[in-house]
Amino acid sequence: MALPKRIIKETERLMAEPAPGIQAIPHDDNLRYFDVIISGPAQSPFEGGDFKLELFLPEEYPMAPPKVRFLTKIYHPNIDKLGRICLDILKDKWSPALQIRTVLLSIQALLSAPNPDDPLANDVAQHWKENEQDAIKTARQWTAQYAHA
Amino acid sequence: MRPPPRATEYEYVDTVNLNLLCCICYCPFIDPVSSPCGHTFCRLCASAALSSAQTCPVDRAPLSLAQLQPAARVITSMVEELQVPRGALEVHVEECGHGLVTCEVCQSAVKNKDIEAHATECPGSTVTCPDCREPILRSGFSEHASICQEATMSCPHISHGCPWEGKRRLFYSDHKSSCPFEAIKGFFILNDQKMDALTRLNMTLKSEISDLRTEIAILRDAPPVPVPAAFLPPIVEETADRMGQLLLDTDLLRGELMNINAGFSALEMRQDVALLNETARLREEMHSVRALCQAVQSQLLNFALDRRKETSSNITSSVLTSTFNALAGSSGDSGNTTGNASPPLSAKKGSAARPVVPGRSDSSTGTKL
Repeated sequence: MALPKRIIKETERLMAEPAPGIQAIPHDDNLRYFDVIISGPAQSPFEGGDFKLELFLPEEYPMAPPKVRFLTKIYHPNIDKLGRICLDILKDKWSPALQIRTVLLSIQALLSAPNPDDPLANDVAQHWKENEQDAIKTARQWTAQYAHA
Repeated sequence: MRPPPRATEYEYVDTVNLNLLCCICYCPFIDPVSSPCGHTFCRLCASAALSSAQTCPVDRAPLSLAQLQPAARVITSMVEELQVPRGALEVHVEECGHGLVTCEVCQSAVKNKDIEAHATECPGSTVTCPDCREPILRSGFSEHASICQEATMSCPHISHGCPWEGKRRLFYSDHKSSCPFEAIKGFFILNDQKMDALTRLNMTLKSEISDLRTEIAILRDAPPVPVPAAFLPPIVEETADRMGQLLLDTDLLRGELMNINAGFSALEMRQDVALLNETARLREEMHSVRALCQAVQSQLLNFALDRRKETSSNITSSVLTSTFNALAGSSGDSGNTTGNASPPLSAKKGSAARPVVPGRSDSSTGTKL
């Protein structure tokens, strides 16, 4: 199956004009598979960390959302220990008008604004609600421990 | 969910305006459609997107396929104007279904996409006759079918009831000479002609009847319309003429009748006058007779008086007086009891009107004197 023109164009644009703090590079042998690095947003507990993710465009893309997963361990109420992300646009709120760039920017925004009311990692969410300062401190520790190259 | 199928993903000569790119396939719109919320997509992209979620891919407003309208003409026009590189055009021209190619057999120009269909109907190609197995040009096949000696045919008299059916060559060599219907062919022809004529006549009559029926129905339904004199048939005109004549005659007769009436009343008046005159005359005559009578009486009296004087002077005087009185009473309608001998006034009048009477009265007076 030939690569749709849309994926080629998206890739070209991601390489030519990368979004700030986001880097996405396709694999040479599978142009649907991307290695992604998102920098932790400033003024967040993840500041200073470089988080590795993997992104895969399924056959149905763009009618189906890309599959994205954190590879770097991260202490976040909406990301579980397997790196799966709780983000609506990656599930039922996906739209074919969205693209790799917007998905990655949304994930970057999620790092800035954790949402413990819609948790994926229950223990982290609990911690975040009960003692946000302590949770943030843990997040910073994890960032320093796992997200520094 | 499958990615939208695309006929061809064209290369374009220039960088395409980003506004002309479909946000789903990232290519210039192909058959663009717009949503009520104002977003434009390729038709195929939009229907693929809506098959998974009934919302606008851009703003998530509720959206169904039925709500999609063809995009504004300006968008379509701008997309149409995009140029593809010459190489692509040349490739396209070769495979374009609307390009013309020449049929090698009949030399006519046929559209590329129709060439396969043309092969089965090209008039220049040959077909094998299913009956005699000879190759025949397609253009002449229908002609051949009507003369092919091996083809199965029915006897031409099938309509008259001949059941024969067989190969054409057998018909001419065998059946035609023995067919009982063929023998009375002439009769059939005449009969058919007659039948035709009768059928046609019948048809005409039927149509005439139906025409008349509709006319009657119309006349029955329609209120009576006063027909202008100009359109009346001659018979009506004649009747009207006769009517006028009769009216004129009646007027004449009436006038005549009035004349007669007038004549009659004049006559009546004349009669009346005549009668009156006659009556007056008779009355005068009566008066004169009466006067005559009186004269006679007085003469009689004079006689009597003379006799008395002669015989006995006073015996009969009383008798004479009574006789005189009786006579005077019977004669009088006027006051002529005096025994005056002069004629009455009416007699004088009568003498003026009628010359005869005075003559008589003269004679009477003469007699009296």
